[in-house]
Amino acid sequence: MRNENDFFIGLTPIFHTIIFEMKKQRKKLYFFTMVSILVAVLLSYILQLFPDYLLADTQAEFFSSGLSFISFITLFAACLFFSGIICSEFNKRTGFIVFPKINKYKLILGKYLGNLFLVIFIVTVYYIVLGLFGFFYYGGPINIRIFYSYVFAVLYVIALSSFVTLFSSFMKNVNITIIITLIILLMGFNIADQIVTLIYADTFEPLYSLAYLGNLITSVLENPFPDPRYVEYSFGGIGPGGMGGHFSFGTWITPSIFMGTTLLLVYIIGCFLLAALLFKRRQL
Amino acid sequence: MIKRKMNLSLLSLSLLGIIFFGFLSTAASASTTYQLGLRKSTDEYTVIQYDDDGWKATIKPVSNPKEYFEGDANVTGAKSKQTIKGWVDQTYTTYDALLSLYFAIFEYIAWNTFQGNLTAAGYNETTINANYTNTYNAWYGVSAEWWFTDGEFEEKPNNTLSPIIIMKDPSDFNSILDDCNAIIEDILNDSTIDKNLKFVLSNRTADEFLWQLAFKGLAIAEPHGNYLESIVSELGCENASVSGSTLVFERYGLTNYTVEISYGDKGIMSSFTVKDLSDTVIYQITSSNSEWLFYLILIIVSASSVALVVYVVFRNWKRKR
Amino acid sequence: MTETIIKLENLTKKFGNFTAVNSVNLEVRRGETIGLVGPNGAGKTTVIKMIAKILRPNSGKILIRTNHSDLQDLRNVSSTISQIGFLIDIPNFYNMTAYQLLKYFGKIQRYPKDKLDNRIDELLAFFKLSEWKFERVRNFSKGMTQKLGIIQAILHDPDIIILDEPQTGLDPLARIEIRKYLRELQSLGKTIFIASHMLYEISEICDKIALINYGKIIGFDTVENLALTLKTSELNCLLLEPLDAEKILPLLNRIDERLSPFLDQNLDPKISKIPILYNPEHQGLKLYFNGKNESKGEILKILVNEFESDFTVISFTQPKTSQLERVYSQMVEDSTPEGPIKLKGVDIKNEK
Repeated sequence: MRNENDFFIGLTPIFHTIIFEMKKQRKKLYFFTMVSILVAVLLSYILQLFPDYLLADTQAEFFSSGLSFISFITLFAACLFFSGIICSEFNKRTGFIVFPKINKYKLILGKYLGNLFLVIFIVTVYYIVLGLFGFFYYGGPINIRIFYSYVFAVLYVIALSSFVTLFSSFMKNVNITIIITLIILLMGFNIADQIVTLIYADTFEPLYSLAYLGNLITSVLENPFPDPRYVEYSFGGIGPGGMGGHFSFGTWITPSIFMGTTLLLVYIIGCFLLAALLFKRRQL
Repeated sequence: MIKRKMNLSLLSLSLLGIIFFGFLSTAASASTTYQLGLRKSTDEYTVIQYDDDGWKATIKPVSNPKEYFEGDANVTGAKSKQTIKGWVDQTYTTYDALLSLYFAIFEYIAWNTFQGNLTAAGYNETTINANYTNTYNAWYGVSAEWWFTDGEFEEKPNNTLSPIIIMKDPSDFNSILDDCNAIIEDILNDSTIDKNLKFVLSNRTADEFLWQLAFKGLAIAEPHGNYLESIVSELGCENASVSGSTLVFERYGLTNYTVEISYGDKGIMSSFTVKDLSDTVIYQITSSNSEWLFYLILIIVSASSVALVVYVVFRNWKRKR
Repeated sequence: MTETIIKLENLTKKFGNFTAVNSVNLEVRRGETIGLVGPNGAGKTTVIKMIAKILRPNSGKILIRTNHSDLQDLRNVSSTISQIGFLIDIPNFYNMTAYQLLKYFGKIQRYPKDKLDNRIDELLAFFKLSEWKFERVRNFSKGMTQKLGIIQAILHDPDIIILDEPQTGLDPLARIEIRKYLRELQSLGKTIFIASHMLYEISEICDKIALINYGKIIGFDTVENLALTLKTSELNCLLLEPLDAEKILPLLNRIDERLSPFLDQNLDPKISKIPILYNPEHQGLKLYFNGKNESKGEILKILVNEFESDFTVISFTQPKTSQLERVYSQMVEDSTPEGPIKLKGVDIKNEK
């Protein structure tokens, strides 16, 4: 009984840090919630105000088109919420005040969870707005696959957060962390995926790529789930001067649900643990 | 600080404004006389009553509501749904009107089958439109339809491009009927036309035309009563009348019966009722949608947000005092 | 003798080739107020950072007595040490309100929930920050931030308080307030460890002083004992009435003649060229004597009895600060990064 109490008492600093971190980041929360609502309203409502912009046939297709920006929102939110989570303690020297008061593992866990709740809240708001308009246009019940999509969006945003946290653990400056993680997540992974697909075609699935794993958010809305997951497009013809030929290029649409989930979890746990270890080792 | 808060409030108000203005303005149309009430939404239709014996005794012994509606329309409790996907302004030529409004499906098929014969006889699109120069402005809507089912709806609709036609001027129906009847008359009298085609084609009365339109996606503009009155009076229907937003057809099967088609605020069918001689309902479909729930949620969320903002502002103000 | 609660054993910290802290040995006993004095870059903050577990020592140990236990190696103390309050370096806070920050700090250090608000109000009121309770620290002046830094260190009522340059950025009035508060804490039996280069503050509060330079402790004792290391000590003698200008020189000669056995005749010219000075502004005499305690009594006797007709002594003091300043400058000048510490007076080893 006593051990149990000690255990919970030991957890209270984490809980207080979560609450404090959520309060600390509330301006970012307001901003991203507004952006999230605006984008969701724009995609699911404002566009529908144009009569000739046809509503999707099904609720799932409606959600799928509405979710086209979710990866951007989650990506920016993760970068802005998590880039300073560790390096700001060193860069802004706030660690001098906090480190002697709370165990570093508890501090990072509290800060991580606090920010995580906020980004998950932002994603949730986006899905709620989308779900509300989906309900408005198509009536109930809400397609169950939107919940699956939500689960993957949450997993994806947690993976992104862990990834950015890892960078924050060894970078010196918050702004540079934001820029570098944005470049990697927005461009780096996509460029790498294209090169890998170009070289290896269907023999190598770009499972290392967070951007690729994020495709599950919309793929899971499709009924049936995309199969085959590697698609090849080909085109050909004769150009001016009789030049011509046959061209084809392939693309991986989505990872499988099992593999995607597993790798997202690997990203989440791996990056966070590594970040926590680096944070513990780092000296101010 | 205050300025920032005001900006945030202005942004929120603008957002809410856009949403509400959007709801209000969706129905706005170019017509000065009639206005379009169509909204992108989904309506669910439920067979709330079906008296099979009554139907067979009144209409035809070997028929059932499936003649009017696709799917399990003859099962009480069966549901169908229709999602209005959007609409565009469209101008119909006489040829367009003939094919899409006047013809029944079997006539349309026959017309396409005998296309060569008709073109040779001078009944192609160019010549028909040259001889009958009227054009008709309409709102052409597209909807996805799920047919009646007594189980769960399939995810994909049965028909993704079901038409909704609303003439901007209801008197155009009369011109369409006159022109199309004249064309059919010409064809029936033309000796070069294949007799098999002539066997299929026939001209029709105003009542028949309106009855057919009712099942071809006829929808109405606002004000509904005036619009319906105008259609019925312009066409000169004898067995159709209007009561409010309801079109009442006097039909004859084994006995006389009435069919009442009501139109809801969006101008599409909201209920369909068949009554026998003694005014007993033998078949009824009604529609419903969940929009009210959406508005209720929106009101609750808005009220909660406002209350939260007021609370936070008040708490901060109190603290600073 | 009270128990040792912090013990540094051969504590060493290197940054690359630079040795910031070099085999430091120090013991802090319960209830003591210790001053860690040294020039900038001497290693004061590094020592404190190691105690706070912000830096890891390269070698050596920090032993600490946590609640009801024996001295324990800090590395084996798994969690943070809740009975120590730290103020390290210039405090930098998250940009929240003072109340939000203190509430958070109080909670994570498990200060009783029901008393926390009162404690915050009490400390904010003492440090005259009550009006700033709900203001973000971004709007705070440097001095206010420093005060908040001190508040966060003592908020959870720790037994040991470690303050690094607590007077930085504070106006004189605030310094007096803080000194007053530290004295209150002393009276409550708290152990206080202050790193500073403000000798006056240190000499006023501390029981013992550790002098640090080039990462080494070059002296650790009471101010009085440290003063024994000085060949020359200072006495201030305040007079009832100003001396007649014409008589000053002969009078000083007479005093010098009479007190010569006790005065420092080989006075370092950097301190003063002559052992007796008259300051008309302060209406007093300054005497440089040989530092022996018995000499002080003799000097006083002679001044009172034999010069009664010339002046009346109303105060006779040995100023701590100026002594400390001289001990400090002497020791700092004499210490070298590598070589042995050369002290003029009593031998003070690097280790206590």
